[in-house]
Amino acid sequence: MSVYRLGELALWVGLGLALYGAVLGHVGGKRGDPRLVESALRSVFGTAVCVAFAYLLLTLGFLNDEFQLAYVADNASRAMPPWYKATAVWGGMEGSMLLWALILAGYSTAAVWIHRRRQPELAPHAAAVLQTIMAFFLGVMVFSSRPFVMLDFTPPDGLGLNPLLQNRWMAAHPPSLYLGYVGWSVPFAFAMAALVRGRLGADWIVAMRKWALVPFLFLTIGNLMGSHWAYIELGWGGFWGWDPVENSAIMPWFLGAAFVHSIMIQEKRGMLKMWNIGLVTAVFSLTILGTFVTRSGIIESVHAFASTDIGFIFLGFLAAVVGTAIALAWWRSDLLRSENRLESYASRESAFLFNNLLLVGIGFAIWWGTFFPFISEAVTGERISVGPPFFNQVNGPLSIALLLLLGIGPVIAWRKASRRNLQRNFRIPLAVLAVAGVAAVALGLRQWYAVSVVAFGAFVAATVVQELWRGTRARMRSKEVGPGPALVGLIGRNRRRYGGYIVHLGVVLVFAGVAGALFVTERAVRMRPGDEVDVGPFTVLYRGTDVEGGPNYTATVANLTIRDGDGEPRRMRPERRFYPTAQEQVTTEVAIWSRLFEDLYAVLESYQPGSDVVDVTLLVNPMVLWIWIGGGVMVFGMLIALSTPPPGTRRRRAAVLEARRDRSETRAAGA
Amino acid sequence: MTALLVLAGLWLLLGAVWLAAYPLIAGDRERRGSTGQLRELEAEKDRLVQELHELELDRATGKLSEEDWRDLDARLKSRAVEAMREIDDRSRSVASEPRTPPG
Repeated sequence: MSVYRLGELALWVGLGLALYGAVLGHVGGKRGDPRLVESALRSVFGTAVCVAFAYLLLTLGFLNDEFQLAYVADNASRAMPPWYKATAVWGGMEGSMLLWALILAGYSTAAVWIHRRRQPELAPHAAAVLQTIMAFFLGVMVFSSRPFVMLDFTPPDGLGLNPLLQNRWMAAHPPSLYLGYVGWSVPFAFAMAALVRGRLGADWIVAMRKWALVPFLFLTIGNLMGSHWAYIELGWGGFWGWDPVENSAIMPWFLGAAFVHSIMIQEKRGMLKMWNIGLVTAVFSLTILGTFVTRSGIIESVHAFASTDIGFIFLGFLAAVVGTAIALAWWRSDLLRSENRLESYASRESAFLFNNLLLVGIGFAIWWGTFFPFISEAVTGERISVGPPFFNQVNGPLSIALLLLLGIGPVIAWRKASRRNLQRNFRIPLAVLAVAGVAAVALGLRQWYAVSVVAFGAFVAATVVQELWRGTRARMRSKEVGPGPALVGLIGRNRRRYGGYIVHLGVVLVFAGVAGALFVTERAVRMRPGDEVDVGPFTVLYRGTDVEGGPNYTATVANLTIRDGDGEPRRMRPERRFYPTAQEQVTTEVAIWSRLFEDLYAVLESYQPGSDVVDVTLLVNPMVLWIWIGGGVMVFGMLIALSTPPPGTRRRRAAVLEARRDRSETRAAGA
Repeated sequence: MTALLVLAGLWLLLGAVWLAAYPLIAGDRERRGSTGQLRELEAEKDRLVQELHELELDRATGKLSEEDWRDLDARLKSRAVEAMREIDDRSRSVASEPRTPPG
């Protein structure tokens, strides 16, 4: 018996345990029977063992070139470097499902381990929901997308991974994105548990703060990696093409951002309870939809949906998720009423509400634009696509309004902003906004979007600096310390708040980078060795081509020398690669000279063998680096927010120290 | 070698099933009800203390009027006192609960 056959068995055992935990969690939780509850909670750990074992076996199959496994033969080849063989595990639908299950097993284990003591009433029901989700994915792998199907023969070599995916960013992008997708299962599970138990106060929200931030962080990293990959690998010069797969990854980010903000209102004011249940259900549903869209190809054609049973399986699961959430929310609608009412439109609550409406509005616009071709084809038989202009026209104004709210939200007063509060908190930021706007126009900016980004971005930055200054000053007074220790203490004691403000600064930088796309300079030229061409501030000299070999490809490389004024010349080498084993595919490897305020981006479009004549596209992309810098700042801010110790940590530490002291004193007395 | 690996894999899967079934076979050794509620109350108290601290910061940075701060501060403090009183009551009842023998 081949050891790989155990993979299928592990999935079956995992499925059995997941179904067992799904039933027993609810029954045990309802009866309050500690034996049933403990068994249900432990089933989560048992399932995790099975899934991890199956994943390990599949990875070994890839690393050992086990081409009798059909999935390995379809997605790997002998010539691939080991690193890409290990990452090829999630190169297709079957392995992606297994990665989903592995990550879910990790999250479920951590969530159950942490919350079985802290939220004993909710934990069994949350475990039951998590095991239901696990059972769905394991069911898909056992009955439909089977990763361990064995062929009757062993092919000498595999087909290989798509060359476009053989890139280090693409290797890291799917796990990060899946960590973002799958992580939303935990807040969703606890929301459902809170509905089942009728515990709909701030408890579940407080317990889920970090569980929402973690997937939000990974979604941010995953989207950044994905757009960076698109920028350096696809060779069209942009970082975001509003492709259905990209859109599927960004939709949960927008709704997740709404949730991360709106839970603060429930926590502080007991409002938006129903909205939060709706949001977390929507985010979770979008992650399921995103996983499905990425792997199924349904957006390309409605026929792809009907060609396999997987489409109907996912649609059925989505309907069950949404239907159950609606039914539970209906049942508990009395407990989901707001404890307070919106007292004024000029208030923190109102700013957060508008922020939520904008984020959800952007998410809905992307959903509509993404699925419209599919819907139109299904309804009328005619495929009507919407392209980037639709997304840019709709989301441009909405995102600018969002940027403005990014500045208003943190400084406006709770309940009702008085005239004094408005004057005190907005006078300086508004002055900065006006100065920045006028300066942008004076410096020659004419596009409304770019001017708005400069003015509103400066406004947001001013509010953050003002907040830091005021908080520091208050701490200097109360603790009688200098500005440095006061600032460090302020951020250290309020990491969630100030981490959030740092995220806002990162968003401003990303906006600045995105606005740079309005000022791209592009030249497509045919060049012979010795030809020179000017593009933006650069002079590009073409010196001929080289042919070079890689581990599993042959590359034709154009040698370019770049000069910017009197500066040191720099070499750039765009390539075209030919992969003979991977469906004989040709890929473009761009060359990028990345500088603080602009990138020079060179694409080798084609070449004539023998004559050394090449067609090259050269682009000057302003501000692109700021997208990655801003993304890094956002991630840094989220990490600060996540580092907040749970409430009561100091008390527990003090109690532990006291207990130790008591013990040592008792021992000393005994001696 | 392959047979050994297969055997080890089968034992691993059996261990996973045993992990879940064990509490049903061995019985529960913990007193969950009262201690669980106590933990929840302590978490509630910690949360209220944290909220009081944040309220103070909102006041210092001009995001709460003096009147709103007094109102919210009083409400939070009364809830915190209530939680602490309940914690004391529960602690006494947990201490007086008879311990169930293991097994």
